[in-house]
Amino acid sequence: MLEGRNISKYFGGLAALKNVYFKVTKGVIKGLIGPNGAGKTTLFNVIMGVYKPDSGVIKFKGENIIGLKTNQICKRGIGRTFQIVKPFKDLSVWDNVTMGVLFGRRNPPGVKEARDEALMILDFMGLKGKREVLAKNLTLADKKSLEIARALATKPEILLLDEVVAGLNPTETINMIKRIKRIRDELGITILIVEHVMRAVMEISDEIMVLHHGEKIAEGEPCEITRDERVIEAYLGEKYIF
Amino acid sequence: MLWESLLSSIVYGILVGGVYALISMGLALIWGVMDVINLSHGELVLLGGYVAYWLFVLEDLNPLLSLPLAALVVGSIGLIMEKFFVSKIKEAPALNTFLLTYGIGIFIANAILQIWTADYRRVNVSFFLETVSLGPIRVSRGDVLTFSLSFGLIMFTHIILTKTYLGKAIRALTEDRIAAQLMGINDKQVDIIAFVMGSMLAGAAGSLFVSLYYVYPALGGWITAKAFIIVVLSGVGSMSGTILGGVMLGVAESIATTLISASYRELIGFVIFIITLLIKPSGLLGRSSH
Amino acid sequence: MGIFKGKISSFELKTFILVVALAYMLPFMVGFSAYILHVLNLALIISVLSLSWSILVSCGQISFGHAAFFGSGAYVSALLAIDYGVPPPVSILISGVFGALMGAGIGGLCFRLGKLTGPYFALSMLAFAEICRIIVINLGPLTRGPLGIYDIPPFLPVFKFWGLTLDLYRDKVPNYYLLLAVLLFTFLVVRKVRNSRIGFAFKCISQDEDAAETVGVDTFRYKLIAITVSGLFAAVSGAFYAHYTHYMEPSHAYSVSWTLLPVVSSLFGGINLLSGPIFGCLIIWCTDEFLFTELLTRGHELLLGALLVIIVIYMPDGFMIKVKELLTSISKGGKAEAVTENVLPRGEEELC
Ligand SMILES: Nc1ncnc2c1ncn2[C@@H]1O[C@H](COP(=O)(O)OP(=O)(O)OP(=O)(O)O)[C@@H](O)[C@H]1O
Ligand SMILES: [Mg+2]
Repeated sequence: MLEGRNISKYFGGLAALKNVYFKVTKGVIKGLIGPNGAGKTTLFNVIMGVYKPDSGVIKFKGENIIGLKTNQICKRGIGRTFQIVKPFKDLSVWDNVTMGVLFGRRNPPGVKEARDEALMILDFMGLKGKREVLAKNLTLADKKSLEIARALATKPEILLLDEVVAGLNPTETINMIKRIKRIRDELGITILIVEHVMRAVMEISDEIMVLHHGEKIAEGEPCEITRDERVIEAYLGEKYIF
Repeated sequence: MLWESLLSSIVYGILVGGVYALISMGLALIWGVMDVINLSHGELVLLGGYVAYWLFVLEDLNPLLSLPLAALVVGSIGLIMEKFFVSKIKEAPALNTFLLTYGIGIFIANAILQIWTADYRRVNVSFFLETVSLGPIRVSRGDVLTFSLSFGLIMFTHIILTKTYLGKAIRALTEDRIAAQLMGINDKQVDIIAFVMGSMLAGAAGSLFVSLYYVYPALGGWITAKAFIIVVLSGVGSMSGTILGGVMLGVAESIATTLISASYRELIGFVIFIITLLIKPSGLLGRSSH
Repeated sequence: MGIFKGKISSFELKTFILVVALAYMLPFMVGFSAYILHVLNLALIISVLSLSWSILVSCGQISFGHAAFFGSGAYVSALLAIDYGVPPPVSILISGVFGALMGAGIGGLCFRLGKLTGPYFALSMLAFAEICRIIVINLGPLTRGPLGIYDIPPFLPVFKFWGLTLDLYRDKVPNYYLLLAVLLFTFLVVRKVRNSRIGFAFKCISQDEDAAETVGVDTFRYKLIAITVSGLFAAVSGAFYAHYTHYMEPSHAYSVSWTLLPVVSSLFGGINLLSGPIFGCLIIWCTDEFLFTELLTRGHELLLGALLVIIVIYMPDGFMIKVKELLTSISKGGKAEAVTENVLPRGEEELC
């Protein structure tokens, strides 16, 4: 469904991505891990058209999407959340999500229907009770849920989640993991998820790929990854425990 | 003939560029540490210039000697600005600080107008106006002297920034404020010091500026624009970049001035300004955010 | 109630009509002197300018150079009327189109080519205003250079019907009605825009541009719309200014005042309120005219600058919100922190 070949991205002399190949098949939850600065967020930015890669192609449903603007990529069906959350701070939770419905689709409904639809999404993400709260007054966990809700509102076929679990307490983490699974199971949305919290990724992902210094060093099922020597080496000295 | 005038305009541009670099250094320092683009920077420079002018007219003090005084006066204004205004809206969106310093700039410019009227002022020291010849090129002593002083001040600031604890704290804040806080740096205090230092640099630059050019109250915005461009060209916190940026702007201006008809001369600066902004993506300066 | 409940409710509509009706009867009820009416008329013109500035702000972009549109609008309309005999109502429209094109051009350069944001955009507007001024000074044959243009005709020529004379040259009252109508029209257009899909997109962009793109807002397109509409109305207000004052010269047309006034007015009135720029401008302009210029004959901008500083620090949401906050805090027994954003009207429509 989403496939990238040979993707490289340089910032000055620094290679944030080096000839990365990836493929996300429809209906899976794919984990993307790697130590700090590995290039995970950069990969998301390249997919979303925020940065133009120095080389490579990205195909979404068979079509090349490189060169498209972010908003066009969104309308084609790729949703995204930000590692550092970026809600529309002074808008209510409800309005935040309604914006997604209104702008993120090729044939957007009217305002009234958009609001109704947004409410359903809020319900799904467990934010219905807080719909009138201004986004800036939410807790971090709720802000992250809101980011997901807003991305869902654009009716994506694939969702790119950037560290939606990081920073949450254990209960919130469990809830979030459940929701992410439901997004795939009930809404049928494919998911590519970046996560540092290993327990979460391992539990949630069908398959995992590992980036290190911009290069893909491993790919496979979670149990294979934990045993991969290069992965362990990459994480050595880091504080993550498998 | 054309070659000679081109050559002298290049040399002149380099000399002027030194003062430009000094002016922009103050702006860059504050911008880098506090993420505040001080739009009243040009007015602070002007203020330094007028202080030097006053000392010259009233006390017959050479502008080079009044330099420390100008720096002190403007530095204290900077202290007031930071303590009572800028620090008050640290949490607000960045554009608020921008509007705030814009307002302060207008305030200072008009205060200057009240005190010194709109007349063009300049410190005319005959010693400065004498020219010296270097082969075919003739430059005035004032230009050479101000360039050397600017250069010296830039070096001095650079040494403070790289060799002292304070300088290291300043640079740490420029790199990563949160990490610096975690390391136990009192960021509020460093903010104040940086702001005052930046203002002092502006004041010092002003006292040099006024012996090269005529100053008048409305000139401030223009000076800010030049300093801004240099920072955009060279990036925050790079000494060689700042000098290079200043010299580039000085030379570009001075060459364009020799080549383009007099009536459109004023236009050059603004066109350079716009072109620099347009071709240099704004992301270059902003710190990368995830 | 979110921003999507964009319709004025019946009560607010009534208030709104009341205000407009009052404004229309004002000259009758109070026998204003010609001087006061003159000041009011100018305030109405600058209110249009402030509204135009606030359109851009509602899209998250601050301009420090609206004088570029204002002055160019004034020049285009005045020259068309004088040198080409175009009737002012038409020349003003043409100047609006000119302002819109200028806005689109600048928008294309700044937002597409330069990808300028925040301060970079604000300052480049400042440069554009200066560039316009220098060009107008130097295009002597076309613009009459630094001396300026005299005898710019009024909106309508003097004419008589049923024994009544309409003299927009001398009479301040008909000018007042005309300018009020222009302001009202501008207000309705701005309100329409801000309560439409376009306005919602502006809101997203002003909150977070990256996030807006990610949820499908074509940020470039909407920013272009914002600066185009903004340029249009700013130019129109400049054109009315020229036809009302009958005289224009480059440094006045592109004066920093036309940049500063909309900034201070809009912030003072509150940029999140649709009518904020209007009320802000009426108050600021009159204060400036009746008080500041009395206190300081030259350089009264000093006080405007000071005011801007005070506004930014103490009431960044504008005085109306501030007053409301104070009132609430008094009625709640002096607890200032009782008011949070959630309690305040968020939509721009509530305070109309
Ligand atoms: N806009 C940018 N300009 C310059 N360098 C950048 C930029 N964005 C990212 N980088 C660099 O690219 C590298 C990869 O960054 P990236 O944000 O993709 O890492 P990441 O895997 O998401 O790390 P983290 O786990 O910390 O989020 C880092 O070294 C980073 O400093
Ligand atoms: Mg990341």
